[in-house]
Amino acid sequence: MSADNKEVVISVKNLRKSFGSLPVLCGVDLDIHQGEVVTVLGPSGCGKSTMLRCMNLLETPDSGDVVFRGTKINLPKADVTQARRRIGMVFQHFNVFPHLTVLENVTVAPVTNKMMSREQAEEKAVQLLQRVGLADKINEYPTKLSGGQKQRLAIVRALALEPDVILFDEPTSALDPEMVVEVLDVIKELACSGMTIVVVTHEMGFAREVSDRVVFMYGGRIVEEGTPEEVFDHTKNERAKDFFRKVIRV
Amino acid sequence: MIQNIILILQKYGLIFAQGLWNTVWLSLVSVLLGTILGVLIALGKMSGVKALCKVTGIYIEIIRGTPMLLQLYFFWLALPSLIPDIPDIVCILIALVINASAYIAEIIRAGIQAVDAGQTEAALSLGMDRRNVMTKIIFPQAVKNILPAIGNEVIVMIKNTSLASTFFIGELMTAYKKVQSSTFLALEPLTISGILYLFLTITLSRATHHLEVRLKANER
Repeated sequence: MSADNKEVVISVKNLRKSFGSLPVLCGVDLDIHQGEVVTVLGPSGCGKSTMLRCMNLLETPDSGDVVFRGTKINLPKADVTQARRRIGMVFQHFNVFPHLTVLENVTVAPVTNKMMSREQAEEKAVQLLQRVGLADKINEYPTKLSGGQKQRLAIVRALALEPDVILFDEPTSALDPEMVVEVLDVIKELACSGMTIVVVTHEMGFAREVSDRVVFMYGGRIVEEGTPEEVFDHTKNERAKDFFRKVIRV
Repeated sequence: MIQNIILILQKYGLIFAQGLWNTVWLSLVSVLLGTILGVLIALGKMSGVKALCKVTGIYIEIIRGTPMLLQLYFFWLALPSLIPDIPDIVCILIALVINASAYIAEIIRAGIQAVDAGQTEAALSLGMDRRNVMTKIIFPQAVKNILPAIGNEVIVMIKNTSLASTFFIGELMTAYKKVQSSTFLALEPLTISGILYLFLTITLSRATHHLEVRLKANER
């Protein structure tokens, strides 16, 4: 699945960001191609989540470009809201809407954004909820759901807008261990269906299995990238070697 | 004493009934109008427009930083110089509304900011515009924090209206003063007014608690 000749969906160029005096991103370049699954790895504090959050401008970069489908979107006059409708995001802490039912959680954005009629949105939502095994929870409130179910709901909520790419920000880090698999399975299925995916994760097995490309960040920079084999098995980068030694127990 | 209370109630019951009614409507109207003004002030303070944040911030600071009795005096003295035949009760009501609005603005701001920031991020990531994020996602959750706190504000206001008795505007403390000056009995009418205040505040705090439980029914 070489992605080099495919269209670039989203890219960041020379991205820099500091929180106060603390530099978090020190010049990051990354292109995400159509249909590609890119995993971003690295020790905590290396800037991987910040980079991901810059891609849909939940964080505003200090300098550099965020380019979506050939248009720079981190400009004051750029229509960020429109771009976000095509860039899905799934959060570590799910961030499902507690005051809405499962079905409403999925339909609220397409309906209020006037992208679909209520009927269309509901039909689509039911379909997607069935696909992730939440069909029987449609009229429940999220408080009745387990962590894994909430995260599957959050994934469906993002999918309902039919985005061009989905950003996953540590989607399984807040889950109890027995629920990690059910969420990873949904992401795997998405990956296989051709969805373009960027995922920040600590799940090394998952990264190796589904990624087309693995990116390793350290100190606000991408210090290694390549296929899973290249990065996990043959990296020359000392930082990466050290990191994998610590996180992968054989 | 109990005998005296019964005698007073027989003779001056109407004055206390009027006092009760005046206390209730003054508190409710000032909180209601104060809420409308408070929403505007809270929106101003959260608008991100520097001048607006500053002005609303100063407004809240002044109102919350000075005694209510001083504010009552201020409006009672200042307003008639602008509008010569303004009735006392209107001056007092305006003072009460302005006082309530500052506290309620802070209640609303706190209620909105208590909603997890992740909710805003999620809604923004779904391409919802700022207005829809507020009206569809944040405000419906914030109301659960705001309504019970406004209920408490009504209770506070019921007690605060007693300060308006300085201007003899006919609420429960004025009722006490009237009866006291006609009967030369102090403790008995004061007890009656006290019991009526307690009746109001206890009923309202029960109602507020009930509301709070119902609003949180969907959450844990």
